[in-house]
Formats: sequence, structure tokens, C-alpha cells
Amino acid sequence: MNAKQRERLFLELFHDYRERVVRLCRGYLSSPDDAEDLFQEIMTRVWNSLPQFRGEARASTWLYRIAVNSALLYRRKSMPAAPLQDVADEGLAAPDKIDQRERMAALHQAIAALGEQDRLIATLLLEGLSYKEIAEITGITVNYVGVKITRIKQALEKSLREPRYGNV
Amino acid sequence: METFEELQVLWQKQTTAPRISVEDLMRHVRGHSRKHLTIFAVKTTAVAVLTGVMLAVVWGSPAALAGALLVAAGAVVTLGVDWMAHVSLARLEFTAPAAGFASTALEKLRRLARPRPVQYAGVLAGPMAGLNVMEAALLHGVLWEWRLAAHLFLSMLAIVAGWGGLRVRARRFERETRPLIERLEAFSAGGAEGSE
Repeated sequence: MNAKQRERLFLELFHDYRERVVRLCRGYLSSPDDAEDLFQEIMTRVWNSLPQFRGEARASTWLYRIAVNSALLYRRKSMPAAPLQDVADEGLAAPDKIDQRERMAALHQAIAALGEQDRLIATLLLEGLSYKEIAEITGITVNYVGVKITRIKQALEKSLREPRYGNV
Repeated sequence: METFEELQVLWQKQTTAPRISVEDLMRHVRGHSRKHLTIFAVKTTAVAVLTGVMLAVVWGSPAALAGALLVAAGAVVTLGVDWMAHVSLARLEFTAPAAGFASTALEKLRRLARPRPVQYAGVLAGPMAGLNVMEAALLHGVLWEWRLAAHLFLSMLAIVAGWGGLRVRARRFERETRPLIERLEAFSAGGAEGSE
């Protein structure tokens, strides 16, 4: 892969996946600043790993693996309990904004209450990835992904039913 | 109460564009490895300059020169170990499935957390032997009591500085990597039953 091909592929991946990767970062870390910092780390690793990209795995699986592994090794710059701010603020229509913001904040809090692995699986699931893709990214079996997902869905639904989340 | 599918729709409605522009990101990714190389180059230059000064001072005495080279060798070993630690983490296979990645990363972090014999040799033995050899070569006309005191002082200096350096490094490493180790352990524990 020459320099031009590398740059073209990087820009394609950036444009196609930037929002999904940012959402994964924001799902995994509660601080928007940390999430932005993690996003840059992920894209740096994508850039560094591109020469080894052979196209054997799907680009999305390949990129999500880098994203998930980078999240695992990310050193938080701010305190872990940083407040959730403006998580759903961008891109929502004005009339629904407050309602959607509250629902989104509740969802983020419910995700934050999950364990390390479940938090990552939950964000991948919310992105609409299949069990097989999640298994390929996380390295756990498809059957066990299924078990995990059932538990995660129950945990999220239970969290969101609790009164402190305002029955989202 | 919403269904999970409704939560998915809500989640995917976030059009959370990154704050960084593509141009700045390109600059960032290109400059990233340069940053680490620059830090390493600065450390190497500092060691080279100090070694150069030391060698210039003792140039006339082959024995003192040998001592200075021992000190320099200790510094080179220390730099090498630091660089290897950086490379070992930077070369982790980030495109591997997360379960395997987590266990490899965990193993590497645990190994890096413990100072290895070569680090003790570089930080303690090299400078201690080197300073004593230099002292023996340069102070041979001085009273034995003074020479003994100088040997003791230099040995203690090398031990305190080297030991202190290792302690500071270990504490910094512990502070920086403990949360990562805990997170990787939690991640591995979460998927232990179903890892491929």
C-alpha cells in the first residue's frame, strides 16, 4: 500500500465510520473530552495499522476491533465520574430536543452502570451489529454473545424502568 | 418504557460528529509517532551530551575512561529498557479480537510493572561500578581515608539515585497502568466463559 492509497483508505474510513466510532467512545466513556481524545487515539491506530490491512476481515469489523481494543487501553484524562453533558445534543430536531436529550442521558447512564465488557457489547449492539460481528470483534463465541446480549438487554431495560431515570 | 429496538433508533439518531476536523486529524496521526521519537531523541541527546562531557574530563586516564564508559553503559541500558517498554505496548495487535488482545495486553502490563534484573544493572550496578572505577583512577594520590570516604559516598549516591529512580518509575507506572490492568481484568473476567 503506497502513501496515497493509505491516505485515501483512511479518509474513506474516517468519513464512513466517524460518527459510529464517536458514539462508541461516548458510550464507553462518560466524559465527552475523554471520548474525543479516545476517538483521536483510535484514528491514530487505524492510520498506523492500515499498512497491515489485507481486507480479510470486513472494514467495519477491522475498525471496530481497533476501536474496542483502544478503548480497553485508554488512559482517562478526566475523573471517571465526569458528568454526562450534551450527549444527545447534536443532530436532534429542536421540538424533540429536550425529551430526546433526557432519554439519551438516561440510556448513557444505564450503559455506564454495566461492566467493562457489557458496556462495549451494548454500544456495538445499539449500533445494530449482528451477533456474529460482535463475536468477531470481541473474540467471544456467538452463543455466548447471545447470552450476554439477553442479560444486557434485561439490565438496560431494568435500569431505564427505575424511577430515577424517569421511566424512559 | 421503550423496546430495545426503539433504544437502538434513539442511539443511532445521535449525529455526533467528532470535534476535530479531518485536516487536524491527519496532522495528528502523522505527528503521533514523531512525538515519541522526539521524546526519545531528547533523552538520548541528554545522555550523549553528559557522556561526552564525562569522557572529555577523564580523557587522559584510561582507567577513569573505563569508569565513565560503565556509567554511560548503564544509561544506555536504562534508555533501551524504556524504549522497549514503549515499543512493547505500541506493537500490541490492535486489530485482534478483544478477548485475545486483553489477555496479551494484561500479560505485558504485568511484566512491565516489575523491574527486571537488567534495569537494576543499568540503574544501580553500572553507575556504582563506573563511579568507583573513576574515583580510584582519579584520586590515587589522596589519603586512603579520603578515598574510602569518597568510595562510600559515590556508592551511596549511586544506590540512592538509582533506587530512588526505580521507585519513582515504579510508582508512576503503577499509577498509570493500575486502572488499565483492572479494566483488562474486568473485561477478561466478563468473557472468560465464552472466549474463543
